[in-house]
Amino acid sequence: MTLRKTTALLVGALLAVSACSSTKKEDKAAPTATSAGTPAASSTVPSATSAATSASAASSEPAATESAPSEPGKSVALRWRTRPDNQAEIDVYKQISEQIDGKNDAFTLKYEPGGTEGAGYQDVLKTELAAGTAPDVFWIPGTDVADFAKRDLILDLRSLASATGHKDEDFYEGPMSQLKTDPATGQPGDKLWGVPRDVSTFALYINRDLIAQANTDDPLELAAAGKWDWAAFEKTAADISKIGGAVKGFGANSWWANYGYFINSAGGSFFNEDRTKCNLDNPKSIEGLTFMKKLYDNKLAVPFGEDAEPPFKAGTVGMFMNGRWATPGTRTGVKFNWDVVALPAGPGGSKDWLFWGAYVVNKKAKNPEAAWKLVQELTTAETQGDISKLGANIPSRKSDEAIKNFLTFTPPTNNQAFVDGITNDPVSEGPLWKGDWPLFSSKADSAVQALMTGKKTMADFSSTICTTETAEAFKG
Amino acid sequence: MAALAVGTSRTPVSRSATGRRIAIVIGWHVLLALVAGAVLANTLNPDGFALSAFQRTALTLGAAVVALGQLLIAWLLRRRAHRGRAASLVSNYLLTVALTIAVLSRMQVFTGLDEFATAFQRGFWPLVVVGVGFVWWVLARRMHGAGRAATYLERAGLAVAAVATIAWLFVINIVGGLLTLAGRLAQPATIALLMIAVVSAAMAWAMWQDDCAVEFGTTRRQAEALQGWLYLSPNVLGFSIFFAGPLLFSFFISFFNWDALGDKSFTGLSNYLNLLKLDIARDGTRLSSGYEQVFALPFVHGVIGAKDKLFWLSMKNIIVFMVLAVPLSVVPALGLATLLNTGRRGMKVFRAVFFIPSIAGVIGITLIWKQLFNATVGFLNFFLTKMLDVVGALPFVHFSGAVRIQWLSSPSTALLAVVIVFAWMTFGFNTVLFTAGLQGVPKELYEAAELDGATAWDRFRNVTLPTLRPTTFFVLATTTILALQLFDIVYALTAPSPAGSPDNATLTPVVYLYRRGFERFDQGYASAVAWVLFVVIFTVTLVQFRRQQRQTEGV
Repeated sequence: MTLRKTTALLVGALLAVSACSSTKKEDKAAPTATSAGTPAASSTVPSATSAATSASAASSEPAATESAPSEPGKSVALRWRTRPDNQAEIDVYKQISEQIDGKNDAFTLKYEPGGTEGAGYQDVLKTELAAGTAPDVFWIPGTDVADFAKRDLILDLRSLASATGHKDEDFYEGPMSQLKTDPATGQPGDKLWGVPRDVSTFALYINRDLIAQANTDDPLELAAAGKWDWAAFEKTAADISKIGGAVKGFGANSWWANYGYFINSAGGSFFNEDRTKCNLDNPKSIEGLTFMKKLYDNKLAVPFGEDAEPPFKAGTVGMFMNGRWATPGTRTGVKFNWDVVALPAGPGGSKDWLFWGAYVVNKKAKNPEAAWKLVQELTTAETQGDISKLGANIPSRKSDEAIKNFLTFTPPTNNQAFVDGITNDPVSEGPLWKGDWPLFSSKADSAVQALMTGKKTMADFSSTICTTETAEAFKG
Repeated sequence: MAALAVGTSRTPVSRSATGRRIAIVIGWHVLLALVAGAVLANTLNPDGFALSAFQRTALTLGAAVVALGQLLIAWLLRRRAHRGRAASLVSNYLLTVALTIAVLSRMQVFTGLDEFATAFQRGFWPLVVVGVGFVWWVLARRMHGAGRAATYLERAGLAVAAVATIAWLFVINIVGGLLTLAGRLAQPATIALLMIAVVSAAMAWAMWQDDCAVEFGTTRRQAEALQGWLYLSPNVLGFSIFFAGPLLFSFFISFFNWDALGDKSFTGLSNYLNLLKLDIARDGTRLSSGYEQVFALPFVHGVIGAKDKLFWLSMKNIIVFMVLAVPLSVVPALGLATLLNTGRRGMKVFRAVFFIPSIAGVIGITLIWKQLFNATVGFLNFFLTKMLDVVGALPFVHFSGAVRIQWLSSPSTALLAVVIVFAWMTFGFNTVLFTAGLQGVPKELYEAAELDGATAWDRFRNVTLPTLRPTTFFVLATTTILALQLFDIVYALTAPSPAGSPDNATLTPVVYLYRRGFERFDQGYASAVAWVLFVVIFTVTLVQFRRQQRQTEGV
């Protein structure tokens, strides 16, 4: 072997050995994990741990029962993950992880930014859960809570929460009722699958320069005067579209929440009251879709299915419907005068979505108490305040102070539009406890796509959407 | 054939010592058989290990095979059969490898390797200084005739390298790393595993020795075969563990209903049946219950329905895609290669330029294409509009207005958009392959054809194309396989909408497999899709191969 190869091998081996030293903090956790089930370990169990033990014992999952309390003075290594949308968000979470790590002797943290929504965040997570390599604490969208809970992938935190003074009522009711749902009944019960990280609502991002150029009524003034309804919205969209060229009055993306807004605002809904049946064929739901289709048929909107964000940022769309998460990108990516306005009221009133996601604990986390402690730390008012400074999230705690902090983050000037979305009886996004949400949403997306692009008539849609198209999602 | 020594040891060993060593190895195999037997007894006991039904069955079978295998090895060794020696070597070698991996895993070496890049980053600058010192030293050594100055420079270079090495070791915390590893090793279970690995390695070593080879009457051919397998073993193990193993596992689970998270339930062929079942309805009759229409039958007023509409839709899409994308990736590549093969100045630059899309990241390229395809602000529609403006400016041609093709949002154009991206990405690589093939065409053939009065087209048709046949076959086969396995472009181009959007117009079998396997976690069904796709790809490739063979034989 040549000297060069020997040197390269030696350097590689030394680096590998040194790499092991950089994970040495984890070794402090090893004795706690291996001491699981020993009498000595169980004799030092504090009250929170007994709660965790009972939580683990309630399930028949062997890995969960292996969980052991962290011994006094010992550090537990925890991995946690979110789905960030950009590097700025990654930096904020990394900083928060370091802060929490610094002030807690109970655990050592490793933050792992997950892939984006387009990169299959949940698919990767479930694959890692199957392989046993998933992090201890992770964020999941509200719609996925049932899937994760029913597959027995996340821990019921109720006993841990009860022992540590957690109050459900500190958070918005919509997300909490889903997080408390008992999979056996499909109704809110005494479970606790996680704690909401943040909430968000839809608003219309408006290009005020285009609105001025179209010489039409200002949606902000209409909203302030209580005249911001579908008729006013349609007129504004039509006036802006009259500018011509590539300019369109309205733009929205094609995923479920976008057409869902029109359905909800018309007084319809995706599901019946107890979310066990499809309700998309309800006359009110059809009325909402009919209004939406009219916008596309009359060419007032960016063609259905096209990503409406690039044309909005390019200055060719007057009103773009999107969530709070689009704010950071809009702040840096547009060169025109913009703001946000609340969604217009439909025949069913002002109905916004309440989007949310929650921090949950891996069912196989070796130290559920430490993981729960981390969840609590990640959802304190202070942490949520730090995250909301980024502008992408609205705090999930019902706190006037948190909302006040959020409102100071401008532009957009009219941040109140997002807050109004929360307070005006929003429809909370949620999973299907007695059905298959991913299947339902993919089938509904396809059917609405066919409807909006003219491949299917409204009559066909109405007669098939619940009876055949999405029926499979409620089987079993 | 005479027995030959094969090992590296040349020390003469007495016959009785060899016999004792073989007896120890036999004892070792009997011991392993006893351990496997104990595991077998435990698995057969309902109060034994807490295992799922599948795990219990697998472990019972595994333990039984190991127990019987070890006893067989011991018996063969006792009879001094060469097969026994070979089996013992293989058994101990595999056991040593498996236990070494287990020990390294328990020492968290594989997890630690994740931190490898961090450690490298941490020690980067001291390592650079080590390199500078080394280069300095090498250059100083080459300064012949410079006398003492060169010696001083040489020593200074060495000193810099040495000091920087110490700094580097300090910065990367080598002592901490060694202590960490030592701490992890000092666990009873880890030490026990290590001891068994060492014993197993010693048994393999003992059996490998020359005197054992002689004792077992190993021939030169057999010895060479053993050595050959030893050299091949890293590759064979890697192939078995990372390729063949998962492949067989996926075939196995294709007969189960399994979500990768819970227990499996055996469903026999139902995954395949649900996937492939078709029904035909003619003259106004209805499809059977549970079947959805996939294709309309021309001329007979009928329809074909499928139990799994999406799978057949994906098959239809991939066939249309293949028919469009393969010629678009191959024919322009051949034309371009012919142009690049003219030997004119600067052609090498063009070759490199056309090759770039093949080596660039698929996702990055696709995201750029996604922007280009945007219906309202995309460059593609913009350029088409400008081109038509030019055409419209011609006399007697009336055209005005903007082109607004909904490349990605319309089901009628979405697959075409995927074809464009695929062809753009693959034709550069195909061009390079054709160029290499063209350079192998003998010049004499062209000269002879020219003397015979052949035109450029005649030369291309009668000389270039037939001589390029093996290259063309390779290009066609690989491009077809790539096309049939289409996934990444669709996934990136249609995100964040569901992969295969709009309205399943870009749904391909692999995208469907992904959706079933990783979005709905229907791993058994997804595996069945994978195996059906494998059969399709195998058949298509076989047909191409046979055709190529026939043509070659015809020539």
